[in-house]
Formats: sequence, C-alpha cells, structure tokens
Amino acid sequence: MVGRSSRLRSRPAIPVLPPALGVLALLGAALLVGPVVALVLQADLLAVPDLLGGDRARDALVLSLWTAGVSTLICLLLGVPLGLLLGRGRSPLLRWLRPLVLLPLVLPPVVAGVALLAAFGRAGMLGGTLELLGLQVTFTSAAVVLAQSFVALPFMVLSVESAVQGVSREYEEAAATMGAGPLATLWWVVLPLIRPALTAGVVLVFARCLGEFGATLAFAGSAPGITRTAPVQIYLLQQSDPRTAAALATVMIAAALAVVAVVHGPVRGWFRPRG
Amino acid sequence: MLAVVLVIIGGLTLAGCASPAAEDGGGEAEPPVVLSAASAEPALERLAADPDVADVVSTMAPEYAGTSTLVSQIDSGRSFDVVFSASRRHMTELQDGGHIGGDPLPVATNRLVLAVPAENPGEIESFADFADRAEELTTAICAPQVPCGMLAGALSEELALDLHADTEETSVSSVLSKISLGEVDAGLVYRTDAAAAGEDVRTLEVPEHDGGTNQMWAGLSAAPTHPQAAEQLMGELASEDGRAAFEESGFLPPPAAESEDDAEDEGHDDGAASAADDAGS
Repeated sequence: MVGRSSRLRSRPAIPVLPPALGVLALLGAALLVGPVVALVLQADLLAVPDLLGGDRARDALVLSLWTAGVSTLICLLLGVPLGLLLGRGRSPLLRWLRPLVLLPLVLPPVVAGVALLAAFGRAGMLGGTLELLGLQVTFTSAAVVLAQSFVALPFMVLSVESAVQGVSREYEEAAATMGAGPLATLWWVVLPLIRPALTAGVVLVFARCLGEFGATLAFAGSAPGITRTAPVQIYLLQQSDPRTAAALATVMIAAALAVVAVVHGPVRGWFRPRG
Repeated sequence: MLAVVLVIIGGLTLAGCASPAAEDGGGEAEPPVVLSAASAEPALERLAADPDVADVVSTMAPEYAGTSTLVSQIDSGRSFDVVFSASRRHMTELQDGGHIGGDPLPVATNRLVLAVPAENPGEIESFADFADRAEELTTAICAPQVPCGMLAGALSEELALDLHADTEETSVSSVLSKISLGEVDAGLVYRTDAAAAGEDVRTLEVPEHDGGTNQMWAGLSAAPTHPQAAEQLMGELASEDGRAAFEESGFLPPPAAESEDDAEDEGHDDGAASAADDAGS
C-alpha cells in the first residue's frame, strides 16, 4: 500500500503492462475463458430446464449439493482448529505436519481416491474394524462426503492459517486481561477478525466439493442417487447423451461462477470487514 | 480481439498437430495410430510381440480407453488409422458418422463372467449362489453407457435377475480393479479381463442367455494418416496370427456371419477356440 502511494506522487505515465506482455495476458485470458464460452454456446440453453427435469440429472445435482454441503460443514469443523494450530503453534513438529496437511491440494485426485481406499476400503487399514462395527464406507454417500472432505479440507486450513498469522496477539492478550477465557477469546475476538478468510474458505471448499470427480470415482463408486455426483454423471452422459451432459455442465459452470464471484469478483467487498 | 486470439491459438494447435503427419510422407515406416477398446489390450500386446508380424504392427502403441469414450473423441474430430470397438453398436455409430472406410472386420467375441476376489470374501461358489444372495452381496458392474454394461443389462433382463449393483463403473477395467482390490464381493467383467487378472480373481461362468456376447470389431479410418500401415494391421488381424493372438488372450472366435446367434453358438464351444489355437501355432 505504502509503495503504491509513493509511486503515485511522482507519476510519469507508466503503462500497466509492456505491450508485448499485453498480448500474452490476453492469450492467457482467452485460454481460460474460451472453452467455457464455447461450452455454454454449444449447450442448448433454452432446453436446459427440460433436460434437467430427467431423473438422472436431477438425482446427480441433488446428491452433489447435499454432499458438498455436509463436506463443507466438516471442513469448517475440522479445518478451523487445524488452521489455528498451524498458524499459531510454535512446535517444530508443525513444520513437518504442514506440508502433509496440504498434500491433497497437489495430489492427483485419483491418487487421493486410492489412498482413501487404502485407509477406509474394505481391504484397507480400518476396513476390518469398520466391518466388525457393521459399517461399510465404500459405495455409500458417506464415501462421497469423505472424498470431498479429504480434497477440500486443505483450502480451509490454508485460509485460516494465513489469516490468523496476520492477527496480532495483542487483541487476544487484551481480551484475556479483561477475563475472557480461551474459547470466548476465540469466538468473540479472533474469529470475527478473520471472517473474510472464513467466508472465502467456505466458498472455495464448497466449490471444490461440488467439482470433485477422481477421488469420488475411485473411492465411492458410481451408483445413481447414492454416489453418482454431477461431475461423474456428466462424464457418463457425455458418452451417450451429450446434450444433457452439456446442460448439466452449464449448471455446474453457473454454480462455480457464482462461487468465484463471491470470493474474487466485483461483489467481494461485501465480505470485507468494515473500517 | 478475443476472436483474433482464438484464431491464433487455433492456428498454433493445428500446426502442432499437422507436423507428424507431414513427416510421414517421407516414406519412413511409421506405425498406425490405433485407438482401442480397453478389453483388446492383452490381445494387441500379444500380436505386437509376435515375431512374425510386420514391423509397423510390432511398433504400434495403441491408446486404450472405454469404447464409448473413443467414439465421442472420434465424433469430436480425433484422427486415427484403426479403431477397435468392443461392441457392434458402437462400430455402427462410427460408420453412421462417416468415420470408417470400407467394411469393419469382426475380430473376436467376448462374453461376461462373474469374477470374485481370490480370497472370495462373499463366499460365492457359483453364479446360482450369487443370484440367490445378490441383494446382500456387494457387486460392481459397468454403467449401461459402456459395452460391458450393455451386456450386464442384457444378462439381468434375460435371466430376470436383479443384480443389486452397488456401483456402475465407467469402464470394465475399473470394475476389475474393485474386484482385485477386494472392495466388492463380485463383479461382471469380460472373460478376457478375468483371464488377464490371473490369480487375483476367480472366475465363475455365467449361464447362457440371449445377447450374452459382444463382438470386437476393427475398423479402418475413412481418412487414415498412415494408410499402408493401417492396411497391414488389418491384414494381420484377419490372418491366423491375428486370430491366435485374440484367442490366446481368452477371446472366442468372431462370428462367421453377421448374425449374433452364430456368435453365441460358437460361444460355448471351447473346442472351436482350441482348434483355432492349433491352427495358429
């Protein structure tokens, strides 16, 4: 902020970008926007409501929405404490924990699915124990939620961690001297201060859950209404009924666009703290 | 501006794609571009390893995927020399789309078996045993959009049996991996897949029924980029070496005529397969 205002004072007219880079920037934008525009143009927008009226598309959308919702709650419940621990903790062990926790961000989703099978699958590490309890995770909606939570949790952790590092401990010390316990301090002081990061985290986690494909397919399976989420359904329909696939894809694009607009678009100011 | 940029990107992409084909004009014997149903993999590997086949066949590097995936790629303009379809229906779709030159060649017949993990967690002793307890067992099949799923659907209908599938996978190979990992009690896969999985799975025969087989078809592209190599591969497929490669991989012989009934008659006649093996060696 300081740097920019000092530059403003002595202002020679500097272009935003050297012209050569401007062409590359536009190429980059075209690469990102082009395919999505092409898909929406190709989709028969007027027929979208009819095509989505079919059971297969509707079941998949409903399943995607509720599993992504549950997964987002789980990520909030687990990701906020973990983010606080990583952001505030002093133990050198945390330096080793950090990359491990963020690993799912960079892991190919199919690998994530195989890892989940190794842990929760019937032949996996916990599979025998779960089976004794009469629980089977794979091929149930719980597996979908687990797969989504696994790949999306790092987004929440990362948001909270970087936000909490920017909050001075003085606020918490002040609250403590006024007699607030640790939980009250967290609830009334720290969480309100990092609210924008929490909002961004929730939105990104929800979007990541909606889009989950590889881990779900490898770990949860693909049964209509139970584990076949919208992305999996799109993949299958694309081979047999491309029009319905395009309609379903358009709905996913609209949902993703709404989510990104909230975090990074023109309406992001609504989520900034006042003053 | 956007349009200009898109045109530039398009131009670059086309230039990138066109160059290998242009080099081919030089007369170097390049292998054909082969797109193949995943289930043909063991047979094509076997054919390529045969010392007697032409060089362009032994150096081919087929790309394997579900047949329906390949059909949608070809419909979107993907170029190829020879395509293998795991069902007659998908080959007909390709012909209707004008992608196939000449008549496609039936190369082999495949049928479903019930495969269970080697350790057999569901304690399934026979297909009848499976049919009795289908509801309580964990079962994987292919989705109805892919050829192996079409067969599973026909089986369910013909035998009036609800399979109670817990998952409908997008390809036969992912059904097989769920079985060999022990994640399901049973699954319906091609007999060739079960054969390729070796000791990881146990195979239980499925009762005879109408529509119980799929034919593997090979089709020559209407616009091949390596026409000579493609013709050579088609020739090898029709030869005794080609037949043997498929039959040693667990395929049954192709139908003599177009009719599917003939294929089925050959289907349960193991003598035909071994006779062809002898002829091939």
